[in-house]
Amino acid sequence: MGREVVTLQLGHAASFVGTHFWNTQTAIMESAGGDSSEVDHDVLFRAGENYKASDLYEPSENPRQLHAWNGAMQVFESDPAPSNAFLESLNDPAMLASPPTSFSAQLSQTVRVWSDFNAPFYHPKTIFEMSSHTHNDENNRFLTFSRGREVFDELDLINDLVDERIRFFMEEADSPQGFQAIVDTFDGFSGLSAAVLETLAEEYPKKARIVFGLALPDTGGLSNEQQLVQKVNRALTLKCMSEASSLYIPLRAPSPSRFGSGRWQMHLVPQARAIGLVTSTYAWSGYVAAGLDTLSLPFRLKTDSRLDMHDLASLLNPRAETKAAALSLSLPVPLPADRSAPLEQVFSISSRGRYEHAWDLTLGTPYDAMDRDALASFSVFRGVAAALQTQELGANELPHTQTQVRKILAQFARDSGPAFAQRCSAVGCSDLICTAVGAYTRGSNSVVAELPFPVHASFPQLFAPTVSAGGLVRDSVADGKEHGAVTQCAVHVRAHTGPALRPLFERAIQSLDISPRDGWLLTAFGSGTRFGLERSDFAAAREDLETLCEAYGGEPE
Amino acid sequence: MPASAAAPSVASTDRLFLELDRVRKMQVELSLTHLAQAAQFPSGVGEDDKDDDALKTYRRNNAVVAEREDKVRILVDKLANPKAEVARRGQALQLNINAALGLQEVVKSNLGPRGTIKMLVDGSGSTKLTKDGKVLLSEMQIQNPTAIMVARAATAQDEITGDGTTSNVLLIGELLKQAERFTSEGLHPRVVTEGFEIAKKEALKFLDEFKVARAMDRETLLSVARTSLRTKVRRELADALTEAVVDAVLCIYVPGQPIDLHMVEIMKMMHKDEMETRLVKGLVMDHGARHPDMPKRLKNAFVLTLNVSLEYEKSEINSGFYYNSAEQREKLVESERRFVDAKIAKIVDFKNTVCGGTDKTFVIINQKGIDPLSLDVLAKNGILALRRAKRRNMERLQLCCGGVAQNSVDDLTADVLGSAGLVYEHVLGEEKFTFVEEVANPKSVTILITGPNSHTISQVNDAVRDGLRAVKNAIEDEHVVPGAGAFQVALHAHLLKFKDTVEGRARLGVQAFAEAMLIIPKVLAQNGGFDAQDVLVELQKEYAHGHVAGIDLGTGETLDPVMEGIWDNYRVHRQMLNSCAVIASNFLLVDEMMRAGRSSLKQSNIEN
Repeated sequence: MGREVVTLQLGHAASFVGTHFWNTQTAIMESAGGDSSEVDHDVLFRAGENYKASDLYEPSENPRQLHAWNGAMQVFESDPAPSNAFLESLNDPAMLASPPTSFSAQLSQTVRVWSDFNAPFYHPKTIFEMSSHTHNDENNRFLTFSRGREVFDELDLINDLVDERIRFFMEEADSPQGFQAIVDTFDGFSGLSAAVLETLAEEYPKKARIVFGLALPDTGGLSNEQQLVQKVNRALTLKCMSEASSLYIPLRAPSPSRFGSGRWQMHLVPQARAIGLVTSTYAWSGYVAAGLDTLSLPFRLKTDSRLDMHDLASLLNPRAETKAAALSLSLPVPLPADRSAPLEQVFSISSRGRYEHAWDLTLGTPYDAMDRDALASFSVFRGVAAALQTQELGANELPHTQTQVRKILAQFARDSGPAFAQRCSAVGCSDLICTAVGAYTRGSNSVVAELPFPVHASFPQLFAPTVSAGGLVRDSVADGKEHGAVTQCAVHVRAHTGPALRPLFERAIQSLDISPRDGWLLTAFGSGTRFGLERSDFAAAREDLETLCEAYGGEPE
Repeated sequence: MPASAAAPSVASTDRLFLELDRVRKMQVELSLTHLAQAAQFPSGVGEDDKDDDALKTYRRNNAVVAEREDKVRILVDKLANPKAEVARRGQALQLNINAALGLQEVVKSNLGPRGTIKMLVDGSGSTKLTKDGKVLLSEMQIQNPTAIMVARAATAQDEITGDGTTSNVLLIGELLKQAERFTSEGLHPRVVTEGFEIAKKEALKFLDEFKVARAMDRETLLSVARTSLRTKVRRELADALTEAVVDAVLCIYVPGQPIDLHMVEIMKMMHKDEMETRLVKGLVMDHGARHPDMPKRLKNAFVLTLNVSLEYEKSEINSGFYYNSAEQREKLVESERRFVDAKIAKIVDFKNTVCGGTDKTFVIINQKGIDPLSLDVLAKNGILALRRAKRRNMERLQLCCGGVAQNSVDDLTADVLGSAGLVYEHVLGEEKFTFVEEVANPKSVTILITGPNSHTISQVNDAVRDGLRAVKNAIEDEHVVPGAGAFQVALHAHLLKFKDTVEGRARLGVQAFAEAMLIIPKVLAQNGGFDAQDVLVELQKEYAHGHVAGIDLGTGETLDPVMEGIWDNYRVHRQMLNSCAVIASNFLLVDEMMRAGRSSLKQSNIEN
């Protein structure tokens, strides 16, 4: 029986992240020869037939909204020559068949809209173009939460999007798990997404709704006013999603200035390149997509480790009042290329109780805080064993066995979880975690998937030269040796919730406290119009957020 | 101030007027090229570098022209009026007039049954062919602020009445043009607007005399629908749609109650050609049964509308349970499953009770999901079941087949059932459609639009929408107005007579208003390929003889719209007279244009 997931991508940045996500799905399918024993593609894709009468998977399940098309159109018009080699290669199977290539270098220069690096085909009902706004149209900006709600109403999206399109895919699904939504939270899409999710909550009350909220990385190019508007949008989204979603994970890629230090970025591109690379939406959206794809992997597994969206949402919300969670990402997991280096060292927690090889996409810390007082924690490891298989072995060395690896990972997952879960596991549930037979405990859980993260030809090559093609980390690179593209790597993500999320709410509360000096914000948010927000609305939202914040425990700063 | 302004001779004054005329022409040309560009690549303007250049050039040229005009005007005005302020006022007005005329020029060719069509290309390369003013104005990206205001007024006209957008744009442009004849001779715009106001009131009074009370039988409604549709799509197609549109409205019309056009569902099917578009007295849904063994065609069916989940679902999340082994998980699933099975069993029992021993069949249309196991049981019992019906179809189904939608499967009784003579599935490639037809007394019907491609379908869709509105308007107005330009010709003659009774200079405004009305018959004639003046003279002659006369676009002769059955909606004319006078007056009173508003948000660039 299917366990379909309908994916929604609302917004410009969301379309970028989504495209990386879909390209990765294509890569997973290709790497497994179309029939993976581990991943069930029917969850995300609907089967279709193309005209050549061979099976073709159409990733249909993602009605998305975007207003980015105009840019693309004009690129093609003014420059009829092929806009990039990647799109060319899609039409030329011979080019793809030749061993691993990456179009990252060209793409990071040329990509302007998501369709510039999109690999799969979509069902005609998939893409929904908003007619009221054009991306980057100076005269008619789509900037605020209020405007988003207004557009939802104006364009009758409840009919055109929810009833016509989303319902279409839901009708097709035999037993849908729910929705995963990637949404922009910094512009008008914040309000639009809130409206969409509220409608879904009403229409499909029993389906899980996991929402990933994207914020723009701080590149320093924004005026104070723009920053303020974006903050307010994000805060309002946090409040609305805490009500309308079943799990809300805010995501923000690290800003280029953070690439200077920390162990989390040691195996990513050096800073000099990072500035150029990471500021482009194309690149940072890839980084975020890797985390998102890994966290959602358990929904799609065929094996016993599989976990429904429902279960993930309730695991991360043990007291039924904390819908927001944070996500830390370790890309790539720095597995040593040298067999003799002990694995435990990679999965070790620093003396301050931190895991330093990860970046926290939600909290923006250059480490994973591994909070002892956390309410719940959920880790996904992918491809650790597979990446280790590519280690070069010395004369008397044996490869790591699956069991060894699993044991280390289980230990690590347990250590990273909340304190009470560790006590519990000490009494004897630890095996359940490490064998992962669909058994879940309170507090801390993990899923170990065999499949590494496949680096699709369109994925930005964010990796440092020290990373091998198989995703292992070498101590040094032989000089003059051209290092090839990374084709796979191990990834680890950990979603967690608890007092560590307090700052998120506190910041949101603060940004909704509008000083009289910033009275123009009220005008910007449409005070006096039907969907506009008044001073009292901001106050009410602040109060709601304060109540929500309390649920996460801990002490105010 | 240029030195040459010192003492212009009579000869140089003439030259100045010539120069002014030339400048004005340049301005019109400029706005035209720009509008034409905007129309060509409707969504392109704003982002594309090339277009940006065009915009810049336009602005620069406009500035040059404006400056030049300013100088000339100041010279001219120096002669009559030494106050330079007037020149400024004249310039703002001039800009408005030019913009309105520019827009007029764009949509002019689309008026009437003989109008040509426009092709709109959007950013993603999809095209739209249309001659519907509303579609044009709302899809075209217009940059000029004045033109945007005109377009908004016209689209508002459409929202209120469903028709008359193109005419509205033409009238606004023409009113300004006529007004300018007087203002350029020094008449204060305020006086003109006063005249407009008087003329408008009189015109509305005249419209009430001119309108014709008709029994709104099918025949009349067909004429009304035909008149409206022929201006939107080509003749043969219009005639094919006419009956469907009229019958649809007649089906849902309950005398004494307002007509709710939402009760006419529009279903689109990319199939065959647009001539196959038809009325289905029943409902068409865009999905079918999800089980291969379910019946594909049922006669004499009971229809049960449900809003009950028939799929295995976890109980509300956050229930806080955790399972410790795979078996435990299976058990939980099983116990959840039993709930669903119980619901299905109830439905099957109910079906057997009502259908047992008769030739009745059973159809379930559910707003919630039905999972494969449930579908299986239903299929075994010969039940056709549809899942996840559209929310708005739930209401329609009840109006269509009768019955009451159920939120629970407990205590089902026969009186909650609707019925349909025929329910069948139609498969088109990957898409499935389910028709619920032959219902006894449908209060909701479907117009099934077919077409070979999406632009044809959307063209038909727009036309059907307008046709429905026209029929609805006619029924609710209980009056119609003879069309084919007859009203405007009559109104012109009437206002000219009326003008003499108006005191003071305001009569000039009335005269301008009267003249402006003639733009409609003129453009109709032009688009038909005839000489506007010839036709107009004929029409006026005929009207002077006491006949109601419209243009026969086939021959260029006059015809009697009453005899030919060319009827316009009363409320369309009413709204049009009202709004065009108001907006034209607004423009006339503008004496300065300036940029305003907070710009920091607008100029921000969010991407960087």
